[in-house]
Amino acid sequence: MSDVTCREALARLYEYLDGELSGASAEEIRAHFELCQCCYPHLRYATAFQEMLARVANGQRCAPPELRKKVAELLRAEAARSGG
Amino acid sequence: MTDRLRSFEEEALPHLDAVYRFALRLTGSSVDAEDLVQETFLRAYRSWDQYTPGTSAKSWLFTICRNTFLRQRERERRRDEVVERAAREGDGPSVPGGELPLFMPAAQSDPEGELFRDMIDESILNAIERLPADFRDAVVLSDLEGLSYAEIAAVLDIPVGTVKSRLFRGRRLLQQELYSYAIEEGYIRPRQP
Repeated sequence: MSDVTCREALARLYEYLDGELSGASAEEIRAHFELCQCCYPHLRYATAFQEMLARVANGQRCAPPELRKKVAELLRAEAARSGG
Repeated sequence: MTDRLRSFEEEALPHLDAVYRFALRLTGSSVDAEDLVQETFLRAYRSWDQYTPGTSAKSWLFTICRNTFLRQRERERRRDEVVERAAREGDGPSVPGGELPLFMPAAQSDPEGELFRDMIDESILNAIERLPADFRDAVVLSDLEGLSYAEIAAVLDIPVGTVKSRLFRGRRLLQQELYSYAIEEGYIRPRQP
């Protein structure tokens, strides 16, 4: 088993899943979750949770088309006004 | 068309949907959100020289959007609770008192996270909206908009340590919220003691 304690691994679970850990730290945490029977279910559960949010993110609402048009017009007017 | 406008349209405008969603959450009204989006893009265009190419235009726009919103609101209200709370939280440990990252009753009665696969998107988004604003913003920027911790820290003007603790708690609160909802709706049964 790696040197990382269960407490440390769980504390860094989201940093690990969010890709915020550097190579060596990420590897330590990954190794711990892979080998630790207590911690592994946490990783699976959190992964399912984040996969759900990724799915939701893909189906999010868009800006109304009129707003898109208004912003485009606003920018063109500003570009014409400021000459750039 | 000028080069400036062209590069702005290519790099900034694709984030209009994301900025609109962000503005909608900040203002809570579609009318105010539309005004805020227009103001944001106008300001962004005027300061386009200050944008560093190759960095995240999305988080740059979010920062401008939030600053514009705060400035507007400051005129109306005096104190901003978010800032106050951020100051209280400081840059403390990301896991105060060794708390667990997951909402355990949910994780124990549904270890595979089946609930997350069955739940409809609208219920999930509603649950996110019900989170306290500080936690909601962190969760939305990370899980729905894909920003890094450093980018979220810049947008919300809080230390990275605070981003971590808000994500940690916000996600657990969301799991708790979804669990309660799932029990109410009969998706899952509470675990027998």
